[in-house]
Amino acid sequence: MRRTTAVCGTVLVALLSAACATSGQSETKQADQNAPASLSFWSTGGDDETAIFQKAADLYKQSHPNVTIKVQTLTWDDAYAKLLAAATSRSGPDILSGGMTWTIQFGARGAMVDLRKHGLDALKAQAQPAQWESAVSPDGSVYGVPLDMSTFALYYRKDLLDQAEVSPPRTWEELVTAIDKLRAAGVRKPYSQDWGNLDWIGYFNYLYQAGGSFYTPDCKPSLATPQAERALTYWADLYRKHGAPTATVEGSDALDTGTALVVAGSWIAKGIDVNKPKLKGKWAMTTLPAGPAGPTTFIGGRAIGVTSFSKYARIGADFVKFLYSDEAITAIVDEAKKRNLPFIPPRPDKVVSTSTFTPEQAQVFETSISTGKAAPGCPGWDESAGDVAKQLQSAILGKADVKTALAEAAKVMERNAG
Amino acid sequence: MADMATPAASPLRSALRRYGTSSLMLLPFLALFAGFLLWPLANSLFLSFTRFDGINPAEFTGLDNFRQLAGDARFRHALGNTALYVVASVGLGTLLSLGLALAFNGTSWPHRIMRTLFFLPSVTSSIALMLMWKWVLFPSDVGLANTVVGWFGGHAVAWLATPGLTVPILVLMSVWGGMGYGMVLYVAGLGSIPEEYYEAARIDGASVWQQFRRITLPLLRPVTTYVVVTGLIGAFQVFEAVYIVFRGTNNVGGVLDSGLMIVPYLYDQGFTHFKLGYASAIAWVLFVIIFVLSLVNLRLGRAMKEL
Amino acid sequence: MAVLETVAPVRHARRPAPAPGRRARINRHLLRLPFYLLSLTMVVPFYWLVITVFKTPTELARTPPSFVPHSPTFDNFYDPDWSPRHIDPGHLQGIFQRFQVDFGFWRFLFNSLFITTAITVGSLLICSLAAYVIAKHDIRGRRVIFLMIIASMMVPWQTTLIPNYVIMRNLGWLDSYPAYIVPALAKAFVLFFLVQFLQSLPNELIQAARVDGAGEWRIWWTIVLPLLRPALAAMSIFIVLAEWNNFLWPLIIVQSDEMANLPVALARLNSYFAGPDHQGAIMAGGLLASVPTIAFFLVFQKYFTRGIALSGLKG
Repeated sequence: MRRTTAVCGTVLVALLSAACATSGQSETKQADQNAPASLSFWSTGGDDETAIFQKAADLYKQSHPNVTIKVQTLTWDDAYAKLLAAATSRSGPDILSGGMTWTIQFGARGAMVDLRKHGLDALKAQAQPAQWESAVSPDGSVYGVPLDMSTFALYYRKDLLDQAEVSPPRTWEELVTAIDKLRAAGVRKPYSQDWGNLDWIGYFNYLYQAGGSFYTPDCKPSLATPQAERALTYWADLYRKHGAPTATVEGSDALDTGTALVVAGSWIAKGIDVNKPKLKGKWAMTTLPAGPAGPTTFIGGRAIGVTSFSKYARIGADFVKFLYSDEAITAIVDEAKKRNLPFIPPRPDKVVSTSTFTPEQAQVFETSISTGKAAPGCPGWDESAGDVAKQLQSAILGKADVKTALAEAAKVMERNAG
Repeated sequence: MADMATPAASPLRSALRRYGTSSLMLLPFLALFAGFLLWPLANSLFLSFTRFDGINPAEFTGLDNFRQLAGDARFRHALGNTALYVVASVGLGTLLSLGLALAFNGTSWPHRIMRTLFFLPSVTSSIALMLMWKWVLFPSDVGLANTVVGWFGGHAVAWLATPGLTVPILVLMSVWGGMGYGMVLYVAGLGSIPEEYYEAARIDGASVWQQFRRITLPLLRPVTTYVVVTGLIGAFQVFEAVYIVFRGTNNVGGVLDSGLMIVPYLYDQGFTHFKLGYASAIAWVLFVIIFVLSLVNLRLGRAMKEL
Repeated sequence: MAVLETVAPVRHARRPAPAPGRRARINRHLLRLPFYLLSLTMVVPFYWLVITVFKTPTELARTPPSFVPHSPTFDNFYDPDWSPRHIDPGHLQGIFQRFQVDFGFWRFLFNSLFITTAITVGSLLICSLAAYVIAKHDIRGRRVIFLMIIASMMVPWQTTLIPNYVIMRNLGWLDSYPAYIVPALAKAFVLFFLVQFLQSLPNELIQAARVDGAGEWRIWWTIVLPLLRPALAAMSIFIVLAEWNNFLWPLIIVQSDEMANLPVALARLNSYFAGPDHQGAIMAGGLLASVPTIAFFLVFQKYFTRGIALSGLKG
């Protein structure tokens, strides 16, 4: 019997001491600044993109021979989980890049360095104002700065538009008319959306073009407005009345398989000619059709920051600053050009002058970016984004009316705001 | 061990040797078992009563997580979805397994080939199968499913973006991949039924259907219990099918959460919402469900033996 | 001997019994017909997977899709005409060119093979040792230990995901083979199964060896392990399949590219390349990831069905 008691006792002790098992937080000791430093940079994206940032890291080494930075790929699908795991264990990368709001979230939980400590708030002058704003935490901390930009464009098949005698739509009304005319002219798939399809990013454009927003400037949810309703009604009608597909087809595939108008991300512009040689000369692109309140378009991109558990926080911050220099941007863009990769630098003044795109394409992006807005940086937005998308979907798929869906979405945002 | 001591020296030594060796042989297993199962389990139980974001120290909140779960519409949706998926996939899977076993339990080569064929998914890389389904169900006309739909004059279907199709597709994938495994179990069960029972029944003039009802089905009951209960337990833990095939950027459960299940929701709360305490509470709800199922399994198993 | 008795008839399965007459035979074949038709749903997706592997990217993007590759090619494994500097939609990276890791895809094959083997061998050794003690040694507390282990089989493993991750970090094992292997060694189900099996075996052999003066370790190695062989074969099948497909745990513990196992590597491929033209290489990866387990199955087919039956009738 004594043995039984002993076993039970052991289990009990295990249960009790578990209470103290979760690790607390401690200040990471900084390494000697002059000793050789080796940093790891986890870059969310593809292997090719890792290579272009590695080029910048190599360039940095030329002026800082003691510093070696190794860039590693995290795919979009599992980056978030991996970064969370790293933050939990306070071990992992020195520098990380990922979705625009990730650095804010990790920062709010003490896993990122406030880059203001290293003077990086000075980069604000060089960044796109709206994108910078969305990288800054509600309390003003700068846990991450924009690493690159992406935006939307309207891609279209010139041949199909000519056939239906339609010119590229510049307003909401023209878009709807164009779709109808294309259909009348026998085009089976007049319109589709790639990036942001059935997602809040897709709605973002319509919302701001209608004069609405997700939050008021002081971060009160503002989806229960006539503007938001108007935007969602228009967007949902594109699916319900005008046959936009709910299944997402990659933009260049959509063009290739005969879709006349495709709303897609800036990055696809780079690959159409090489991946779909049949389309060469048959397609073109322009800015999104403007809404009643103007042409406001979503600006996405990645943020980059330095982790609080890095032993080389100062060097990491210096490297991030270096990424904004002319020479770094040139090196990155040159390598991107060689690899035929899309890359829009985080400095608006460089969008056209240092571009991997053709001048015409870069011009379209610059126009979008100049009036663009970025994801809301309000507290609780990231927790809400998925649920908001769900409410938008239920309006599009006819499970709820526009008003109810938006009210529900606002409720979720309200709850998560604090 | 000490209480084994007796005044005589040599039995003491032999007892020590015996029990010392026994403990030593048990040690690797027990150490690993305690270190990587009991201890983490205790940890996660503790976490389920806390608010823990993975970075800052956990903060004890009592029953808050469980109270919140009770009112969480998404969790209820995940439970309902899972229940629907579990019932449909286990029900259909068990029926087809039994049917296949009855059809192909012989030793002739067509039967062997059929058995091998139906068993093939069980030994194929599961991620490879998910990727295969994703490709078969490709939204545009290049996909196999849409090509077949096209032959019958239909338009391309957005298989993975139509909420009403999500659970049926998940069930289909699960049944397709799992019925061969159940078939093997049933074939073994059929093989253990003495042929004499059937001979006796035939002499009494019993029809094939009667033989099936009175002999085969009752004698297969232990196998059925096993197939159903392990099927239920596995189905409750479904994750990869949802994660690989249906997940979008902002929705772990596919369009409109139509494929949201318990474990994907756990993953979503824990790994994309920083709610590790809440996720642990979900894990413990899953624990209770599976614990009860296992008890039912044991109870049924015992009842069968006593019959 | 209960276990052996329940399974033994499988080997001599004689059904269907002597023909009961022509009409009944035709009826039986008719009843089978739907199941033969059902087998088409098995063949077609696999066929689709295999032909995809041998199509060119251009052919893959074409509608309607072809059901026989026009010009079968191995380019989806390795395309000699692909170059990172000269982009050409007709020539994409083959699966062996897709990962910027030393040895590329081979590395993941190696990782999966090594990890699976190590866990299978290691856990069978550790569990059989413990099972021997619990089943055949008369020590106090074994009942409690056994009950605890049975109870633990009812715990969904996802419960321990986060705490185990923290343990790996504290041990400094993240991103290493030990993180894959060590936590996976103590398998409650395997122990439970081996104990059940051993309990159904008579004690005479072991007693005789003890009388002859053999030590416990020797008895375990020379008598218990050989006796356990059918059970070990059955369990190794379960362990191999489970570890080969393990996904969520590696997803969390692997940080560097080169430590991924096959499922994680394949999932990464899927998340980055979505278009139909890339499916050839993705399916090639899936095929390669399935070849070892399918080969394992075809070679040990007999043990598979018997092993599964054994677990089902006794587990």
